[in-house]
Amino acid sequence: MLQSIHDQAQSWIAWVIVGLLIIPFALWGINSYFDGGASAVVAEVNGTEIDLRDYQRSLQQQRQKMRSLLGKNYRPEMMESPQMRRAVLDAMIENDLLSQTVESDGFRISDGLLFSQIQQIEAFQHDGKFSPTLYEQILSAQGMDKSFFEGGLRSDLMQSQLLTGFRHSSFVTGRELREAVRLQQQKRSLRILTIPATLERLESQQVGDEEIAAQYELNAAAYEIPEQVGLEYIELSVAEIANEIEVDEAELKMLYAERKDGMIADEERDANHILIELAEDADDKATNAAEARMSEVIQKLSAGEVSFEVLAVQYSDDPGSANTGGDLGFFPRGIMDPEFDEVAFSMGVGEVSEPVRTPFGLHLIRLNEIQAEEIRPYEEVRGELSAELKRRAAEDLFFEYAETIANIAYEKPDSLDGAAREAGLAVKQSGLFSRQGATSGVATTPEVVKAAFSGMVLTEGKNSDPIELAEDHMVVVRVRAHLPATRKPLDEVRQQVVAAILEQRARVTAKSSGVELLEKVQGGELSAEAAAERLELQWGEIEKIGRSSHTVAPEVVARAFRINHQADGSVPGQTRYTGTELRGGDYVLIELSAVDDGDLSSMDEREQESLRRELTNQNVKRHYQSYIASLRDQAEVVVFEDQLN
Amino acid sequence: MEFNSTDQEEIEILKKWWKENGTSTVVGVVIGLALLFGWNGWNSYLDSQGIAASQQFEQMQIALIEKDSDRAGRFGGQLIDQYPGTIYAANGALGLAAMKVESGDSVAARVYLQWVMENSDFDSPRQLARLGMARLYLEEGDIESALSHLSSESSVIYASHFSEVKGDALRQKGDSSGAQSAYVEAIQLVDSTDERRALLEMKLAEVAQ
Repeated sequence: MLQSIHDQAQSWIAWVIVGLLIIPFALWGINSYFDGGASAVVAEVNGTEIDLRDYQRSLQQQRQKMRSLLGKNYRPEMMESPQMRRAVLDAMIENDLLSQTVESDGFRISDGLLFSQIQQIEAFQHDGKFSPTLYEQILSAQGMDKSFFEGGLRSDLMQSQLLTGFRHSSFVTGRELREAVRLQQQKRSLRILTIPATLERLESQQVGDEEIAAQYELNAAAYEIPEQVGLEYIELSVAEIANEIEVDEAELKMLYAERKDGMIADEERDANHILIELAEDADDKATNAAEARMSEVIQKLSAGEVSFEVLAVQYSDDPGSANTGGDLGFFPRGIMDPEFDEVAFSMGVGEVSEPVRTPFGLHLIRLNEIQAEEIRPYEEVRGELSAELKRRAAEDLFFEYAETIANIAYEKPDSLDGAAREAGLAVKQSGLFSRQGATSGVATTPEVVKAAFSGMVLTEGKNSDPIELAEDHMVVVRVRAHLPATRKPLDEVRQQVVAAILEQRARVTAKSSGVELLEKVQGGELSAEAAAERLELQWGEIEKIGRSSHTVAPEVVARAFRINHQADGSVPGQTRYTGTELRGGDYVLIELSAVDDGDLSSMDEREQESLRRELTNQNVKRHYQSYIASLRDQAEVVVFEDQLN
Repeated sequence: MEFNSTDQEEIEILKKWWKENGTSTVVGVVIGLALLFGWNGWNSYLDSQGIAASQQFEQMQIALIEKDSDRAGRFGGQLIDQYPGTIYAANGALGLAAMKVESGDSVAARVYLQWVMENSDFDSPRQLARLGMARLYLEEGDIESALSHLSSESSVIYASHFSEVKGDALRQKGDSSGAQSAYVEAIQLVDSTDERRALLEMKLAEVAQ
């Protein structure tokens, strides 16, 4: 009996147990059991984690992208700003959201499409053909698992299907096109009345002492000499260190012996030429004429009556060489046109070539001498080698000194002397400068100015941190003199103060009389003409200006296009008039006299098509952006801020 | 042996238990497994439908790029007929509608949009279809039909564009103040980097009081 139960146990009960164990694998995939150790989580998108490692990898990629984009202007701290880091994380979140959405919306990519995409990736190709070995090698070199890579690519393809969907479902109707043109190319005709903010229009130019005192107090900053500092600093640069370095002759010779095989002066050739000018796109007639002229030259030359040089003077169209008999001197490859080089570097000394066609015209070349490529002699390259040795030695010293200076300047923050002595440098001094910086010297660099006015240097009187002016050039600064901002005495600036008061008064007067007249004209109390007469001014006509017109002040254009009008182009009386203040203080009354709508039919077909395409693309972008925004709104996104830095 | 006798007893207990509960246990396990495999089967059916639809969709997009409207129409039609529940059918129908608008046949375009509105379960294409309907009615001068497609509250995803079209319709109807508030709304909802902003401002300036 027992035996039978045991037998049974071994048969179906065992299978049930194994079956139950298999289920989780079947359901969730084996992968989840083998994922590596967990790393910190920076965000969760609908429960899916973005871990620190991936985030840091994205940051690194972004850094590289910025560096190659900005080149010399790249600053490492750009990527350290919280906004930038957040933008990188946001992009990752968006990508996760999209990949979740396309998956759940039922986007699918067939194996066929996936593999044809993989095969098109150039990195996986050998001699223009997809190589499965290369594919696996590259993935494993990147530490990437095949199913991970293919999963990512699948998701990218789904996302691009989503985008294609938006692209192909966007359209623009005829009415929308007409409306866009009607508005964008609308022209408006105006009359304007400019009330200038001039002193002549003031009733009184008397300014009382009290007013002067008040203005002087109120705008104190305008009447002071700004805060200034003077620096003392030590400056370390590779160039200066290199100047001090002596180079050993024996060492130089050794370097030369080592290098000389690589120090080759290219082959150079000396030639004369005669150019018959012929434009690249010349017609048959011009070509025939040039060829006839060239054969004339060849004929005379072969008759042997006239020398090549004389013919060059007579015939050559090359302004640089015609007068010297066509002499070009010695030249290496790559200076002349390739067609010219090809002939000049394959002919023998004393030979005259067949005519050669280049973009300039037809050339006849005579080769005079060949200077074969040769190893450059020691005397010639000694200077270069010595500069290189000096620079190399100086660079080593630079980093050594830079570290010493940084340490000492930090440890003894109250003086630069120690650091200077240790590095054998002199302590230099700058002149006084304000926060605007100086026009010459060390304080022209914004970083130096910023450091000079920083709390640590200015208030606490300490040495600055080392400031890198270039990769091979640094300074450390400290403040030697500090002049706080000082007010200029009232007597000295009195005229300035009065001028400012009067200017302000002129503005206010112009505006208030403008606004007053505008109200009367709008209310029908006063005709436009009567208003102008009152101020002894005249309306000026402005015909049909567009939205980006520069013929009138931008404030006037903006205002004129904000006047309401009827669909038939007429303007109702009460809304016809408006006014605006200009930047300089003048006040302008504006009368809208006519509106001419833009007309689609005045555009040719190509322009219409390009506008249609532009509007369609705007729709695609707009729909896509709205869609992403709605995904974000509905998603549950948690960001663990404390993990981000 | 002691062991033997307890063993015997346990076997008896097991046997008794099996007699009482055996059937229901087996049935339970069978139902569980059936559900499990059914669910997996259903998912893999959906996957295969998705993949087939995806391939049709790819073909249709190529035809659209090549401006071969007959072929695009054929692939799109198959998507709608054979895989009506997929996202591809919805996006395909929107694509065919856009193609019809381009060739000037707004009535045919509306048929596709109508299909998406009535048959698709996906919010985004459904809302785009409704927006498209309104724009086409406006094109045909049927302001009331246009407005009726714009009034529903479920236009959340493309709210800015809905408001813009509403402004267009109201302006055409002569309702300046209604148009004004619609345009204001459209501008508020549009992304700050959106290129359409300038045109929206122009539209607003024209109806502003």
